[in-house]
Amino acid sequence: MKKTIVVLVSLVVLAMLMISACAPAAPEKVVETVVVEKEVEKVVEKTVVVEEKAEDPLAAAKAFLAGKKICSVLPGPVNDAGWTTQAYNGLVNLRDNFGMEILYREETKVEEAEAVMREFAEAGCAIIHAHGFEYADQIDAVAAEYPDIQFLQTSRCFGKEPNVIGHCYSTGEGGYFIGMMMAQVTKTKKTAWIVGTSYPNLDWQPEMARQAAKDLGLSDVVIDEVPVGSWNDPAKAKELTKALIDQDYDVFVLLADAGDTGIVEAIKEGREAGKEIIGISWVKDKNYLGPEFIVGGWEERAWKQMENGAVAFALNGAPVGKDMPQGLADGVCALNPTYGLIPLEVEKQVFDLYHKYLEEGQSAIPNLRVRTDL
Amino acid sequence: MKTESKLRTIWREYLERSFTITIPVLAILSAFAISGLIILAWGSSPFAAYGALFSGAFGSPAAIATTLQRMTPLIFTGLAVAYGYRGGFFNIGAEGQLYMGAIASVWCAITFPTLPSIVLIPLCVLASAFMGMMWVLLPAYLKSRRGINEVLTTLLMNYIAIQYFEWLVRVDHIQEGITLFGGEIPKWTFINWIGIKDATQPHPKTALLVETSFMPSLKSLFEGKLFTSLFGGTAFYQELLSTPAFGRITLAPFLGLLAVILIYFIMFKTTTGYRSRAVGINPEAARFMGINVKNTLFTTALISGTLAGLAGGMEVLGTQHRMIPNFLVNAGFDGIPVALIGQLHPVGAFLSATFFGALRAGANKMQVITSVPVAVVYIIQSLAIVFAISGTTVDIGSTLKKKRIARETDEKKKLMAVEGEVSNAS
Repeated sequence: MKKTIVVLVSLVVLAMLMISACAPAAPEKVVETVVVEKEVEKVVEKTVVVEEKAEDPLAAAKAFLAGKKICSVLPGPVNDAGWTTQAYNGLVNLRDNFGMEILYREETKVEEAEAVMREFAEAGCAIIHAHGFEYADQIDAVAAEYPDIQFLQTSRCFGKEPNVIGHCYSTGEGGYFIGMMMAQVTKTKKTAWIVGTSYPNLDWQPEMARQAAKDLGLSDVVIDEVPVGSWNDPAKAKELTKALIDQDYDVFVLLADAGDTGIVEAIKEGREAGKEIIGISWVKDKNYLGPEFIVGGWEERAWKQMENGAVAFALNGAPVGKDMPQGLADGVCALNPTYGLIPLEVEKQVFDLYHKYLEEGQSAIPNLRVRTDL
Repeated sequence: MKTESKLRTIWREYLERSFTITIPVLAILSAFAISGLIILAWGSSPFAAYGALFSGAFGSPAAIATTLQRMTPLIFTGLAVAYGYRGGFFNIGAEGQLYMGAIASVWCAITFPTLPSIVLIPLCVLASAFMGMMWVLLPAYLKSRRGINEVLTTLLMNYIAIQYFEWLVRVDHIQEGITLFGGEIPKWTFINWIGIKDATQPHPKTALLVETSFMPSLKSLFEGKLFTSLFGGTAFYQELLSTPAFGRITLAPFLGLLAVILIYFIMFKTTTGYRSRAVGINPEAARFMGINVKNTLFTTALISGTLAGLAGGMEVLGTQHRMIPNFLVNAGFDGIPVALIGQLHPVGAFLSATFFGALRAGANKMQVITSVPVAVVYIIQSLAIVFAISGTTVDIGSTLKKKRIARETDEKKKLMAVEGEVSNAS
């Protein structure tokens, strides 16, 4: 009987031990929740602090800019879903959030730009913005004639005029992260950046993408840069992409502005023919063009640059001349969601490094060379 | 027979002859009228829009300077197309010839920057003319010797020229003592010698040309000793010199005017021009007259190409002072409507180029002030061309003349009949 009692007690104890071992770690969960909540609280606190700090200068800037006119010289149509759309978004942001009046001229030829800017100046524009490096001479000439007007130029990393702010991107960051994706997602080891035309700052992105592939030990992955020859030619972009698909390329970065719709069409047709092909957005998230195969990719916020330029002008209270190369740390670039279109482990690896880079800076990616001179 | 009063004779002759002027003028007015309806539908006032358009083209020194700048390349490409067309060579390759002319000018200025202005400017202008001529050489040969359609060949040469430029503007131009962007000291190669990209910076553009190669501006001329000694003390003179627009008006449009006079002279006062026009009207008849059609066509094509090449040279030496991708889009193609509206006459091409230049210059102000899109300007241009071409088919001048001759013949017959009756009766 004693034996039976001992066995029964032992079995009960064992069962209890097993049950307790199999049961979820309730006390630990409670602790974790607390930690998370504390973290959230901390984040909230931080945000509040940042907002409190930022509120004053922005409010002052808004008061200064309200009712003033910003006028933009744009190289393409505002609905090109890329470069010019970004500038248009910048104008809309300044109109809606800063109370500015906006005026713009689409598809401005280089030889027309100077006259357009003069008309803008005579029409009372407080800020004149030119969206592209090609307008550098024109903006310099007009800026010298109108020293009381603030000029902003995108894609200009250097200049010395006292009333021209030059905006450019810290080039290479996006190329590296997108390169990590491309190198690991491709099955055929053939990938390409489809660009409108080739420029030094664009050339540097695939260069860093190749560096990323090399760092991952995937040097055999081909990362090509293929220019369409136009920023406004979907038909040509489509033919080019189809030709690459025929050569087994299976990952494409969409960097052809209005031509991107052609790239998307080519990918769609390739997929319908049974090929596994994906596209990666550049400039802005283009997932809406192909929700099943377009990754969010890299975001370049020209609208944020324009806002930064306008705020710098407002805080100075008078035109200011400086160069503003900006990147991830300044919030003018970002990595967009992947929408579950790439393997989870690749996504995790890329985003982990992305966050590490944001926290630690250059030391997180020793081989990444960011250019602010292109 | 009734005798016609002197006033009536002048009016009749004017009517018969003036339709080469009246048709384009009516075409332009009709284009404005129809575009006015579009502006009205857009929700703006056509009068306000056209007022702004005119003011943007001629309303201030800056506006006039812009109009002159925009019309200059069009004068040359318009002349190129008009002269070619009248001579039986429809040159639609002015765009490519313009690009090649501009490349030659830029290359000349960046390769020989130490030459004095008096040598460098004419040298670069001649270089642009020479390259324009060279670029039409192949189509000229194919047309005159092999009878191959020049529309096709000159069109295709455009693409080659533009792609050649796109490549050239990405090839560093190396000169002694230069340091590449990034600090590297380059080695001289032939490819780099012909390249035109500014090696000291990353973007695909040429270096800003040396000032000694700039086409002289009116300001620089007026700052000379002669004008300073004559007008130096006057307030008007000082105000003129301090106007920035005055510095933007260069000799280029005046050289355009000179080219108009020269082409008019060649076209209507020389045997070269006579032969060219004869071949353009009817090559078989010209051959029957003893004209060497092949040589004449060849010469016509070369003159046309030279003029288009000069357009590129004038633009870079007079206005932009450097080349970048898309530096002067479609100015070559625009030469075709300029020539057509100008009734293929040198003076007409000049007036037409002025009209086009004014439209381009004024369009910006129109959009800024009235929010009417610049595209309206292209509608006006297109409608003007359609009306002008349609107008030439009507040929009211000839119709009037025929009617007059028929009427006069009838009257003569009647008179003779009356005289006959009178003599029979007597």
